Amino acid sequence: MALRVDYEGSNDVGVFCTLTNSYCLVGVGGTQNFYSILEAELSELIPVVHTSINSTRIVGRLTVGNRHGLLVPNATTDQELQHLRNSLPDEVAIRRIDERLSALGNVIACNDHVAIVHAEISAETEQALVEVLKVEVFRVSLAQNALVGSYCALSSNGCLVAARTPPETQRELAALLQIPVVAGTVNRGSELIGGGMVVNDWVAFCGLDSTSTELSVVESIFKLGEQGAPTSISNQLRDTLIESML
Amino acid sequence: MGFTLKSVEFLNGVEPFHIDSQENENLSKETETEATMISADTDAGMSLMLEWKMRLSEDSDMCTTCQCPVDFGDRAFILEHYQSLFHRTNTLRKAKSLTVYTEEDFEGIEMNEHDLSTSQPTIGLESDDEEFDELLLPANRSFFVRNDCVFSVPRNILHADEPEVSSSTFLRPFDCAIFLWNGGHFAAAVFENDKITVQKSFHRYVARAKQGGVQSQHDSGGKGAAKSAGAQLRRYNEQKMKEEIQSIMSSWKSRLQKSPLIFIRCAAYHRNIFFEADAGIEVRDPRIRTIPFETKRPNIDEIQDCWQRLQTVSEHGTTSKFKEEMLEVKEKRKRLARKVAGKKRKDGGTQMICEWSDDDDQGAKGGEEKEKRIHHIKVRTIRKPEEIVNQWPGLDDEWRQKTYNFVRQDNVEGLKEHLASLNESITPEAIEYFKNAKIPPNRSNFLHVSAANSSKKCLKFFLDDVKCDPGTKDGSGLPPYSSSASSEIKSVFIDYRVKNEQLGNWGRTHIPEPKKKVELTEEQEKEQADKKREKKQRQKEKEKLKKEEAKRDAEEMEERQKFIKMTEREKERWLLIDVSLDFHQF
Repeated sequence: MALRVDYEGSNDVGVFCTLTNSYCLVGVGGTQNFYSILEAELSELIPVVHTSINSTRIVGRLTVGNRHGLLVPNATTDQELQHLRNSLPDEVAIRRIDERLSALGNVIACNDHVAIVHAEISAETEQALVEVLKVEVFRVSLAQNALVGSYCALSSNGCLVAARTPPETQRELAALLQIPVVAGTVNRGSELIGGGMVVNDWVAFCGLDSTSTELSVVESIFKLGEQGAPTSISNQLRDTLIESML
Repeated sequence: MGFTLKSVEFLNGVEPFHIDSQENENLSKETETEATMISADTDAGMSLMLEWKMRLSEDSDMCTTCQCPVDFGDRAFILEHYQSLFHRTNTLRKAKSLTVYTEEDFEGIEMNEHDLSTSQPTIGLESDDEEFDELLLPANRSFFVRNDCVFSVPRNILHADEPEVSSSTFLRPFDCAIFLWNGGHFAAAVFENDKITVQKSFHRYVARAKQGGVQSQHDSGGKGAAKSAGAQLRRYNEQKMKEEIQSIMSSWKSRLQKSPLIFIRCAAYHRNIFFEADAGIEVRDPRIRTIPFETKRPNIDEIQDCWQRLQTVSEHGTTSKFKEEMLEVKEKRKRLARKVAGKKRKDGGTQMICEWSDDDDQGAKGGEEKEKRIHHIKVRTIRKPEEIVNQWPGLDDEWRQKTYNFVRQDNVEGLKEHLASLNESITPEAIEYFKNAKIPPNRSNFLHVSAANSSKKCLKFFLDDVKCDPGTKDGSGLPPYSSSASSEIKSVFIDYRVKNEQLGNWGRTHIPEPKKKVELTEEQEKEQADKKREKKQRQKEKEKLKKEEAKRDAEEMEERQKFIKMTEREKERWLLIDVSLDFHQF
């Protein structure tokens, strides 16, 4: 299921939120609206944690994580780290890494199995990705966009990349990630996919401006709709048809 | 006679100077012939090539970064490719929008460049050498050739979109704006069509006489703003001056916007004023230049002079001669760089010192060779980082790692067992390893490790049983004793020295002499006892004095208190008694 939400009037929910299969981080904000929507949607399954990173609320751009772990930039304070440690499940490893490109969310995109990273990520960070997030790491750029984390969103089911990504690159990505890749936009034409949405294996949150076409692309590539997939529709139709014929 | 931009000689036939223009030409010719050869190949070859291309386009499985085919069906191959140095280098190059290497290119390059994988820049002689492969032309001048003679102009006078000198450089008028500002003197002019169209120069009292520096600089210094009348005056003048300059610039705005070059000479802390003024000059304006020579006091004459000097073209003689000269300079620089590098190594004392100390150890037993060796060291100023040679092929990495862990945990029994577990034939090799291993990161040996980790038992084992040399130095030139973690470890070393005093040359191990108990003669003892007694007595006296003083103070205080407590009348009476007493005395 893909939902439209906004964070204090901003469509860039991916900036203020990190969503994984085992936890969700939300930047501390003035209003509770965004938090409550996420809480309502997720709290039965995973913890939704209010936090700041380096006293900023752009947690989505500064951190990167998956089911296995969470990487936070070096500027994270001890207090924030302690708070995260207390709030996240025990099996989630947290590591603070000293990376020159400190907006980890912008330079790394990952799901539970693979990560694609910016070309200039340090070897130590790559090592941390392998150890903490337990992923295979690929250094690629999305054609002209070097910030892989900003221009793509991926889950275990699929990957959405910026609309202007050439087909060769999409093909390459699909081979690397071993999931279907599609080019598209969110938030009424924004190419900043990573900044404009968050996704895990069963739910996605897009900005409030996202069109229904965009939402349907999101739902289909990330396989989110329970009955959304065309095959299931036809199956259901057939069932009802057959029922009516009987 | 000097040449200038206006010299007629340069009106035609000017070419940018390239180091190996001829060689390049040859190369391009060669490749051309090669290409024609390929294209003129047999039909069979052609069809093969076509087929191959077809196949490529058919299943376009390729790494978009490296532009090389990758079989996406084979996960292992994908991993191998994307983790390879080749791919990493190419992604980095792509990120910096450089051309990516082809696989063949890369293999050649890989040999030269070490350690791309660690993204730290390698500081080594090799990389320096690479840079030196080109002629070392001064970067601030642009060279060109005319009639086989080399000339140069300051690079500053080239327009922003102009990488090298061309004949158009000489055809156009040398238009520019020049600003000179030093202390209280300001001068500026705009040249259009080789003539000054607007100009302005003025002076204000802002510089602190005899002390130097303008007032604002002094105020922002440690002592805070000065309050003298002069300071106020200067401060006011400085403010006015800034305003004046900005107003001048904004009145010249249209001219400045047209000017292709803007030369600014002023103190760094003043520079901002030019950008703040409403004159269409931005902070990173590509037109902004510095003046590449010294200027005198800013006035209009000096501006004229600058304008002339900027136009001078210097002559460097014929092409071949110039090349020779530059080669010489290059050689000189190279030598200098080597010297510096050698010195650095000496001072930094990492690699080189280890090398020497190794020699040292062997030589310590030799004795006579010392002088020769020193000479030998002096000659050997550069050394490439030595390749890691596996000196102990019989010992695998796992064994070494375990050894290291035993030492760190101070597990002597484990270590001994570990040693015994080896084949008899390898045991001497292992002993040798214990003695000479250089463990990264600091090339320390096992004595260093055990000393630093307070592995007391292991240390004893290495000293007494393995007979490691306590004089071996680590990467920073220190013997094991100096890396001792505690006084306990130090005492182990000292005990070792006591036991093996005869081994000699303890200086280089830094292990101090054990403290000796000095035997005293009876007389000396007596003397000392006397001294002690005297000292005691003196102390006693001092204490006595102190006590007395305290007592006196207390008494005085008591009396005072008594006086305070007395009633008024009593006080009066008491004072009267005092006065009468005084009176009687007269």
